[in-house]
Amino acid sequence: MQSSTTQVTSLIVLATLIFLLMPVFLIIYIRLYNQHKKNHVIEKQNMQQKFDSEILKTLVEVQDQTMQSIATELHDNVGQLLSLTSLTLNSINLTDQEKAGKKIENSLSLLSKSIKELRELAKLLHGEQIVEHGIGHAIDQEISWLSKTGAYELKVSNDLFDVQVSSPDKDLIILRLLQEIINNIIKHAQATVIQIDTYFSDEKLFLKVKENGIGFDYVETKAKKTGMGLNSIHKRIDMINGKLDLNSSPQIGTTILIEIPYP
Amino acid sequence: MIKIITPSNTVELICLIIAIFCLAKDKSLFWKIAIIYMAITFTTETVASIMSKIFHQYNVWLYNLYILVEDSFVSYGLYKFLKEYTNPKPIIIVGSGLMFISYCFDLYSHGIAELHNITINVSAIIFVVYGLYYFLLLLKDDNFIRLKFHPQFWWVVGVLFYYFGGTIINLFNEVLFVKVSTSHYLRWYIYILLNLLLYSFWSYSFICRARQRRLHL
Repeated sequence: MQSSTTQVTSLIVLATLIFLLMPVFLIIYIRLYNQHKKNHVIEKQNMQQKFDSEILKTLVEVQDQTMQSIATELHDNVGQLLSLTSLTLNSINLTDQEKAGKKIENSLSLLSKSIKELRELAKLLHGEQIVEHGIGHAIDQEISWLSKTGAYELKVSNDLFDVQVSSPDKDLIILRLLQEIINNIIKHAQATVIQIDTYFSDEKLFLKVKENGIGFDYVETKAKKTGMGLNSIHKRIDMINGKLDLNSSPQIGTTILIEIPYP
Repeated sequence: MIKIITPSNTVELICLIIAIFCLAKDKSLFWKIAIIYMAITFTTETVASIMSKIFHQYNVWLYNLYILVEDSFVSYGLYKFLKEYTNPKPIIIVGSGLMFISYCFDLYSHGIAELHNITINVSAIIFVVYGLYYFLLLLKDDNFIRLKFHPQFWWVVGVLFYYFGGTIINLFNEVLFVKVSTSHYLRWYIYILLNLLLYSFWSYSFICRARQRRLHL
């Protein structure tokens, strides 16, 4: 009888302990899962911080590019026009009224041209906020600046004016990508024809830039991780989950196709 | 005097003191009620002890009345904490309905003088389900919480330990009246252990709540 009571006692105690152990394991599991969740949230926050800092960097680069363009315009265009105006005005001989009249007329014409150029510059200065008007306008502004150099034959098809959706952060990055590609063409490609196509399809934005320059070895350049801002282009495209397809052949030129989920 | 001091009412008194210290200034209704509940619990346990040990009277009817307070408070607590993640009204209403029906059945079938075992079992199952549901919602939630200092979590942990740990003793209450010492049944020792766990977790939960309030978390 005594033995039977002990057995029953042991059984109840053991069963109760097992039932008490289950919440313990549950708490351990919840704790581990919560820790995992915490790590995930911290990782997400870090990624967001990285993204934000990259956006800021991109914004600064876009501003830099704008300033450079303005400086070039002031020096090469407006500056030259005003110098010429000054020279013309200095050479006026008031005794020869006929010639003086012509020179004043020329000076006025140069001045109105300068004013026109300055107005164009003012537009470029607004370029910093240009993405606010949509990516289509931002790209158009960039292309119009390029066309003004007169160094390239441009073939443009920009279908992004009527895109109903927008993503300001992505717009800024896309604009910067285009700027970097154009910079590379100007600096390295020795191209004469540039073809730019942009369009929006199936919630994806496509940016295609084709030129007829000297080309380069893409694999080698990518492996070396040097120059031409290729790494920066790759990094930014990865950041917005985009894809880059680059084909380059010596003496034929380079074609870049960028595909970005949008918005 | 010594006779009426039991391990259970001692741990309840400690928990009540901690509750008064930590929750007296709390603005949340639930945490305020927690102080009242602990006071009722301690009073019930002590009065039951006096009735039994000094006046040698049957005290089960008092515990049967206390079941109503206990079930209401625990249901309210779980409702409040589940509400942080979902709308718990339907399951709380169903659970409370089941508990009320069991209580009425117990009362009708064997009166107030016999322990309402069916109600105790039904309540335990319902509270375990609520507790597990709370943990499931906690896991599914995208935000992480600092478990170490989360009062709601430790309060539910206490509930789960008490009701889940008491499953065996509740289920086999009728058949397992095993006396393991000269004065007490095994059931008594296990309930002391469960009470110790429950009120320890709740005490810690009250401390966490005071910290949460102080830090405006």
